[in-house]
Amino acid sequence: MAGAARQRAWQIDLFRGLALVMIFINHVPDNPLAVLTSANYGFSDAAEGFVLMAGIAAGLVYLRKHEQEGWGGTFARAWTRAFELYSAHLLILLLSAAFVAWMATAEGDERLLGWIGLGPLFQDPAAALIGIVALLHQPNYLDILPLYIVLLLAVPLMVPLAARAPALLLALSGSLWFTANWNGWNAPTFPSERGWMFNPLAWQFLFAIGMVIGTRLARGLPVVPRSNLLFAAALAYVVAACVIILDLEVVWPVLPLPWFLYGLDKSFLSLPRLLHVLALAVVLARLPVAQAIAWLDRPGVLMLLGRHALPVFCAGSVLAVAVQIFRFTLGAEWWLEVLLVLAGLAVQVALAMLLAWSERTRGAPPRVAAASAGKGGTP
Amino acid sequence: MIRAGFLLGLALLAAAPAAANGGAACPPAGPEAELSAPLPRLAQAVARGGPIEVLTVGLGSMRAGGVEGPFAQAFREALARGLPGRTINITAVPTPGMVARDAADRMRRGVAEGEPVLVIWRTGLNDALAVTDPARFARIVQRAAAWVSAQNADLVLVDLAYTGAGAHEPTYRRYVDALAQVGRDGEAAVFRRYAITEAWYRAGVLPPMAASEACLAEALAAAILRRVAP
Repeated sequence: MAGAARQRAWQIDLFRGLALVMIFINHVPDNPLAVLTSANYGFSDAAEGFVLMAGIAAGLVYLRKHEQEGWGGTFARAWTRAFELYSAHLLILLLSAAFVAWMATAEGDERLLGWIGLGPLFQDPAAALIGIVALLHQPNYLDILPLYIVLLLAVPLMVPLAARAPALLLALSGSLWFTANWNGWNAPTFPSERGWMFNPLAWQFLFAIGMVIGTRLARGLPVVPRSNLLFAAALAYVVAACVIILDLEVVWPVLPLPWFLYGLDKSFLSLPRLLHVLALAVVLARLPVAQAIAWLDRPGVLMLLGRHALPVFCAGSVLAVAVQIFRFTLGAEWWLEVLLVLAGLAVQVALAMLLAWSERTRGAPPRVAAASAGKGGTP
Repeated sequence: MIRAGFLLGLALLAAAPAAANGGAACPPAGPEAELSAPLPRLAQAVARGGPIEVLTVGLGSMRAGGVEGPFAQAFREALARGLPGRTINITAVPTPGMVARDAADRMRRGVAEGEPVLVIWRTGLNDALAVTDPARFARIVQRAAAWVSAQNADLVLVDLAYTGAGAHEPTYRRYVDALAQVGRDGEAAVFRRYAITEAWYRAGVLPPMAASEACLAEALAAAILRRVAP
């Protein structure tokens, strides 16, 4: 790994840890801590940042793998990793469903079985089981891992292009994003027919952009041109998005254009969301934000979370459902919500500490972003 | 999105006006089943003639036999029977498990692309389960309703179902009340599913879940048709 990449590795872990915290907080809707998350101040939210960083980390890891072991090594590692994520996804879905079933039984209220879109699992288990195993039934909040599994399956195709012809990769990937949006193409779901919450045909573009960034970092090449004009435009876009989102009276216009070019649609990663996360990345890359956050987080909690992103993310997914259930059961007093969310975060930090301690006692080298993306890190 | 275009005349021939409740009669819907506001755009479209575009959000899919579909399917059939000879195109936007904030984005895209004259949006349950802020929930729905109105479409909000007095009814009621407030603000008509099912429950005639959904869909279609009758 080139020196520039090594220097940036801690920043990727830091922002990935921050994204994990925000995703967990956002998965407990409208809790008082949600005002601290980026979702309230722009078009995109932590999910976009997370996928972009996953692409960057994949570029760092799989480029090296590709150069050292060729296409076969890349294929084996990426698909093995995809299977690990698939197993993790099934586990957290099972645990979440068990939580919901317990809650509905204890309360004697069948409406609760519809929690986070789990309804078909209890109403039509035969169809839902097929859907779950085939990644076609994705309850809310448990729908980002299926996207990443598909992206990992595509890594062996993307990495050679990212290594030799990044412009071609971006052109192909961008064309797919555009075509999917233009035609309303989405991966199917079953038994529900809503389509994937994170449409892989659209979101792969953000991952590909991240992968190209990662490969340039790995080679010590500049990523963002040091252009004041670009920085000013990015900053202006981020500020304008913040003003629009915070203005409760703003009425989104209907223009004679396809909706994805000007509307907000998370599933299809519509253009305003895509531009927002890229503008945010330009701003964050130029300003010493990472250093400031690292200074505030001197114990290094965020980096610790970022280095163990997969187990932390999985634990966070189940804990978010549990926190929602406890909040519903116990009442939504603001102090209780804060307490539950902080307790959930504490469990995730404790898990990351345990994993770090376990690595040290086994004599394993400490994780950095590049390593964690390929092994324990990037969901 | 699932598009289901069909000719009502054909539907009339195919489907007898039997009860939706698996052949058994649906319980009578009382005054609770009246919409809280008129539907002027739909009434104009019906009077004008020609196809009628309808967008359903959160009502489940239109697929025959689909586990999420009894409400949507029964609604489509009942509307078809009430407007014989008219072509009605229904576009469904399923939003399983989505809170109003996320569902509203999907609805906006559906409205912008489909230009419906009538939007039916079932919401509230997922926000109640997620215990989102009821005031914020109301604000989100209010803004979405104003936006739909600005697109020259009528909006009918369908609130939660009542399944029996449970420990958390006060929680559910907060979201029912929030939707009622949006209705009172005048940007949308509210179909009071909670009040209807509660009345059925108290009368001891609440059908099982799936049949209840089909009966409610028939009641909704009937309420809409009463609002657009010449």
